[in-house]
Amino acid sequence: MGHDRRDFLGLGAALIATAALGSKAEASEHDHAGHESKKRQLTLVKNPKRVLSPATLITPQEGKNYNPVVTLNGWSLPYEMKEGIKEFRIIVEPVVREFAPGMVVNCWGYNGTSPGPTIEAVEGDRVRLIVTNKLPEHTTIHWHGLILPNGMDGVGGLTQVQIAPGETYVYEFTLRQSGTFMYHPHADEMVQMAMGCMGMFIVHPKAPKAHKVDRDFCFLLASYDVAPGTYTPNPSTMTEFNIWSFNSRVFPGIDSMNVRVGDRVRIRVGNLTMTNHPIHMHGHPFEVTCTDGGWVPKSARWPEVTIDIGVGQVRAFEFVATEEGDWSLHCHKSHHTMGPMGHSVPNMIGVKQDDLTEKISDLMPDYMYMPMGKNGMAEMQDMVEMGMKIPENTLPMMTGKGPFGPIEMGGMFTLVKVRKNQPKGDYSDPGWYEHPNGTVAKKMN
Amino acid sequence: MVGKTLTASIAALVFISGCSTISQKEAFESVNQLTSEQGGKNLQWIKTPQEAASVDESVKALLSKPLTQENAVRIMLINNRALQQTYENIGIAQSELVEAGLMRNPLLGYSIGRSNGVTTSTLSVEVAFLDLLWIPLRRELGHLALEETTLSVGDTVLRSARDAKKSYIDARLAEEKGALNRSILKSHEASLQLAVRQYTAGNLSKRDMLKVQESYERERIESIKLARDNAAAREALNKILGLYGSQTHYTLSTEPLTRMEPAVSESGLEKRAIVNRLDMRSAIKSVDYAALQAGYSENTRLLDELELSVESEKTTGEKRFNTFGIKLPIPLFDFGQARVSKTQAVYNQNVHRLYETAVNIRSEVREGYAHLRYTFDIARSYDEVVVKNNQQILEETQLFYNGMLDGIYELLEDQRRLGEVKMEALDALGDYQKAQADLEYTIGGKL
Repeated sequence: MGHDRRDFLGLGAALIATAALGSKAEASEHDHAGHESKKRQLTLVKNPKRVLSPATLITPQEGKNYNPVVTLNGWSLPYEMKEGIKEFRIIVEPVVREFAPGMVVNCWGYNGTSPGPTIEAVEGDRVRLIVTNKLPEHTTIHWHGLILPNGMDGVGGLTQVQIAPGETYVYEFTLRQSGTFMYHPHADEMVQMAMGCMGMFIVHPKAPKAHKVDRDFCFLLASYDVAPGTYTPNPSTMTEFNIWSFNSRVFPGIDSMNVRVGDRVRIRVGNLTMTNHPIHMHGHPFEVTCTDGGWVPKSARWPEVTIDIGVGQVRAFEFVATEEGDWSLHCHKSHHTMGPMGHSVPNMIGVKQDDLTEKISDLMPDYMYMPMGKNGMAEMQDMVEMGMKIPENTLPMMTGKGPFGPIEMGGMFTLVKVRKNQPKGDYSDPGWYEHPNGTVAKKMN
Repeated sequence: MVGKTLTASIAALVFISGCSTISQKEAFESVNQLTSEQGGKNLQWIKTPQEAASVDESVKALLSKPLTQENAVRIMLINNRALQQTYENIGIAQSELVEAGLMRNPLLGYSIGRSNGVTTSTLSVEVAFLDLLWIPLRRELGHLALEETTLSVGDTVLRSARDAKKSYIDARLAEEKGALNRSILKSHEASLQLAVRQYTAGNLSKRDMLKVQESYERERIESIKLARDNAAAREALNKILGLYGSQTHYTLSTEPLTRMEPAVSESGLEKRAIVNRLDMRSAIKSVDYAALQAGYSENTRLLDELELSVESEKTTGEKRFNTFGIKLPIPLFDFGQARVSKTQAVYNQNVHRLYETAVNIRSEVREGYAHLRYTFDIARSYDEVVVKNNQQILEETQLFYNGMLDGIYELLEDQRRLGEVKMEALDALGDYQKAQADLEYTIGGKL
């Protein structure tokens, strides 16, 4: 086999994880759809691939000539060397993606997942990308940001004939730059991207020491409109999305980024949603070092704690992890850190309702009615934790439990966990941070 | 010969007056029998104050419990004064039958004349002799008329029972819809209270608050209308049950109204209707009556005014002088043909009416069956699908409310929608039950 060992390991781990989670994922789906006598058909096609996005178990090894990226809740696509060409096989197909425990979505994606696996290669590599279309409609792949021959740009109708269902096309070009790129369809984009067709394309510099970091993370921003109680995103939605995700996962289902004190860390973020996202990291200022246009010259970098990532853009930022702790990293549009919510829910802030509880309960004797919203929405999470049911396959608006209580987040939110004793090259979750005495805010006596 | 006939006639007269014809009680009992299948048992004919008091007692006892449909019919049968009026038709027909069996009274004449000291007194007896011959014919007609009346009274009983059933159903529906509406109104009230508080807290515009208020007020009007309908339905029931005063304070049973799937086809129902329907049987009797009447007219066209007379004359100093006489009409101007053709026309009319009745009844059966079938299907769809669907919609909305995906207004709105659908389902069930009462009357028996 021409597989690079770490790629093999990576794929193997992903598949093992899939198998391990398979039964659990089915059970959880069963629980949520359990009250229905007929199991719901979760896709338009038969036998969709079910890769339910486990936490990443890939531990990248030091490469021959590059340090591999860690794709949050994802994996890198293996390749075969053929006469000096790195050959990647890509299958575009319907998949079922678990966005977080309790929610699965009918997506379209690549090689069993949405977003598809990260394509990793090195500047100067010649790559051959063999794309088979198993979607119900034609597609193409556009290699976003890469410099390549015009006929390889993947714009249906303009630079190539669309790939019809069942057909296989070959793209082949030499990687002339390094940096952070993306791939996505350029045929019926509105639908195919709304359904989750996208992935990252990382090109490492030829010189291994150039732009070297200790840990390199990447993920895509993707938004979906999955109406409460449904399974399939609405592909015609333009602004009213209700699922905001990092790599099609929502908090608390998103991997944390676990690093060792002193590590130089790069986080690469691509935005394939229809709005901008101010990504904010706590605890450390960072510098933007790379865009999909290439590396930012050192002299042009400036310090930030929030970087706004526009639609169709990539930003990579770097910092040295000096501050121990569990640090939030999230989109600063607050509704992007929430699960689905009703847009027309009446404003009950400051409205007394308790005395109407009995009246309303009388009207609905089989239902445990609780008034909501008087003091804000924080009680929402309490209610969910108390076991109040919400529609099937729907995530609560706010959730997540931390060592001090509910975190009240959902959507584009995760953690950067900085630990002194995190072993080198170990990406596993160290658990909650144990704060030294006297370093936690406390109630004033 | 004449003397012999006279003797025979007198013997017949004695026989007739001594032998009572069918009694009113028997005739009424046969109504009881005729209607028993459809709940017309234990009819009571109020003829004396004692009987009136006993009916009052029975009504009181029946009203002391929550009123069921069966008991409502029972009360109507004994307490409805329109029905009592109909019962008197039996009395009338029976009296006419008795009258028909009586010979016309003989005419006794006495005359006295005086002239020149001579007195002549004449005693005469005139008997409409042929009348005696026609008595059996007339009695036959009277019997037929009584039978026809009995059948027609029976038919009125069943018709009234059907109407009472339908009034009962209407009253039940009105009451139950009122109860459902109270919950709907309460839900509107909760919405309004919340809206006012939201408005007061500065979270809702005045316009939107007013809209919620407007919905509440409309629902209040709706509930007044329902109360009005309820009062009307109850009064219709009171009227048909013949209730007044403190009797009207009864409560209606809350036993659920039932819904039984009708047979798959109406086959056999038409035949049953033709055999059972009392108005049909009454129409047959009418034809018999008209036929007999026509024959009677034919037979008597020339002779019905034949009279025999006996005269006994006594003149002072002379021997009594007896005269036997006979009077015969001379068919010079009126041959009786007009009367005959009239009765024949009446007969023909009755035959056509019988056909018409049969055709109509058959059509009513088919229509009634189709109506029952469709109202059943509608009622079942409401119960088994539409109400259940709305129940599930409410349950799902509750989940949406829990997830803060919907607000309290949507939750209350769906709860109201369920109530409204339940009201529609009640109406559908009522339609079915009324269709059943109609069809049972139409086929003259239980389904």
